[in-house]
Amino acid sequence: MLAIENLSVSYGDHKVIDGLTISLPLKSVHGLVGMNGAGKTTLLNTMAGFIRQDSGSIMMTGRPLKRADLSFLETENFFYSHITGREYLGLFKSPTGVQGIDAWNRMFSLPLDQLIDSYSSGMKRKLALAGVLRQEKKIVILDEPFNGLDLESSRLLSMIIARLKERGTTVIITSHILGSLTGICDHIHLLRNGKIQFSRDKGNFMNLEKDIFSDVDPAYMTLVEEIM
Amino acid sequence: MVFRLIRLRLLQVYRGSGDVGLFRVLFLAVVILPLVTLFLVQRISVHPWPYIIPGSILYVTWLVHSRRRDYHFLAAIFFRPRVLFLWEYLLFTLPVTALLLSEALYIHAIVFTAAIIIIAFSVPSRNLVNSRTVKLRIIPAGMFEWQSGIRKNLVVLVLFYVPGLFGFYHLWLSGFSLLFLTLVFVSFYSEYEPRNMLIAGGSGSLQFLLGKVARHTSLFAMILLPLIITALVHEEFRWLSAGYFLASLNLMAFSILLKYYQYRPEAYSGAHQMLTTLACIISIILPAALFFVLFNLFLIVGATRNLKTYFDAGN
Repeated sequence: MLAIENLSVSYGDHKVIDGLTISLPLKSVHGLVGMNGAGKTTLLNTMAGFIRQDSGSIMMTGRPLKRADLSFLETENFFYSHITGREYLGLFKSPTGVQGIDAWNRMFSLPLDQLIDSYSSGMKRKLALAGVLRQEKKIVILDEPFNGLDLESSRLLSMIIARLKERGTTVIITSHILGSLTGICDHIHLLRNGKIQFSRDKGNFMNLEKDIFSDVDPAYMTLVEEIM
Repeated sequence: MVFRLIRLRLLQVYRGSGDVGLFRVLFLAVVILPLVTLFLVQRISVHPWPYIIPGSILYVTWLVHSRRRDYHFLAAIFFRPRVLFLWEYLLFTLPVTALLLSEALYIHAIVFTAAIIIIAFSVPSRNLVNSRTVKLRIIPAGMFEWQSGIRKNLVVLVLFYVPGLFGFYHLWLSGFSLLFLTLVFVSFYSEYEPRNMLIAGGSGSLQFLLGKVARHTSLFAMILLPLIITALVHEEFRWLSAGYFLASLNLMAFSILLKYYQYRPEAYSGAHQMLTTLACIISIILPAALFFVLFNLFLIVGATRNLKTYFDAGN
């Protein structure tokens, strides 16, 4: 179990995560949804150890979660200029070694011997994804992984996530597109005002959209009518 | 991992030099590099250069470090990115350390290395997130480089500005402030805006360029004015103070023109950072500052031509 308890994170005076508590079963796929600024990326960054929490704990099977336990696909990925895709992937430690790069690339079909600077944004996203997956960690965190991917690649990513789950990997994934999560997740959690408002298991995704937007829709409708 | 990354960094420099162009690389390697090396070797033991040279290199290292974007990336794949940074900085500043040691400036070398360690082990400011800000109503809305740059460097700017106000007491204080303020302000232009911001004004490329240089340089002049007034108290150095003041303004123009000479939408230029810093250091020798006045004329033509591509796109 991945147990997050009473977690609080602030940027200056602005509290983004406010006493968040949640238990995430391992070896399953968790979707995290929420409005812009709800704290999804902050939560993931805190789990990855990039942001220090004000208080609270993140434990994996009774011990603090370490950065070495997970691989993390950030919303915006960093690439050194003037290096090739192969050199980039070579930076990631992988059980399959440098030799495994071509095998992984059979899924992504990237021109690995070209400079990354010449890649499209979708290709860059796939390259970052390949780097994250190549590490074969027990926990994989994917922040908005569908951004910038074409339909085919999105479908491929869904298949990869399903396969990761079969192999016993815990996947935590965020997306603005609810439909992309309902097909692949075992649990979906709504983050609002720095807290988990509710969680739904796979069997209860039917009314998810209605539940999420029930208290938001009337407020938006009033605003739209007022302004336009 | 350390060697793999440093090998990649060297590969980046080698491949990046291809973008600069063969002639310019040869010019840098055959003319500029030997001249700079000669200058450093000659001056390193002459007061105050044992302070200025390592100080400038430390400043550049800090600038590069505070703006680096690979901290999270390296932290995710290596877990100890700061150790990597340290090796990288030690390697690239090795010539300066060697120079200090060769002149038996051991204390300087130790302090220099200690400062490199401190820089490498601090978290790059680009990766620190906070929602605090400062109100900058005095800066016109269009000067986004200044708004962003001042917010990022407020503490450093205050630290560099205050000593200069005491320039009437000792001229070195004015010189220190002027050099480091210029270094900070010219560094604001290393990040390039998106194309829609560039063309928002609706003017032509030359008009845009000259307008921007005039606005930014005149505001910079206003900021430097109190420092210069205090420096002018020293009658025997009046012309020198005025010369350095004009050199600083020229460097501001150089930084803006260089930015648009190499402009690509939404890019960050390490080369801009290095070249502007180098220009600041070279301009310490006042006659050499004249070279950048002439170079600015060349840059106006190049930058206008480069901007034309973006201003005219879609027409």
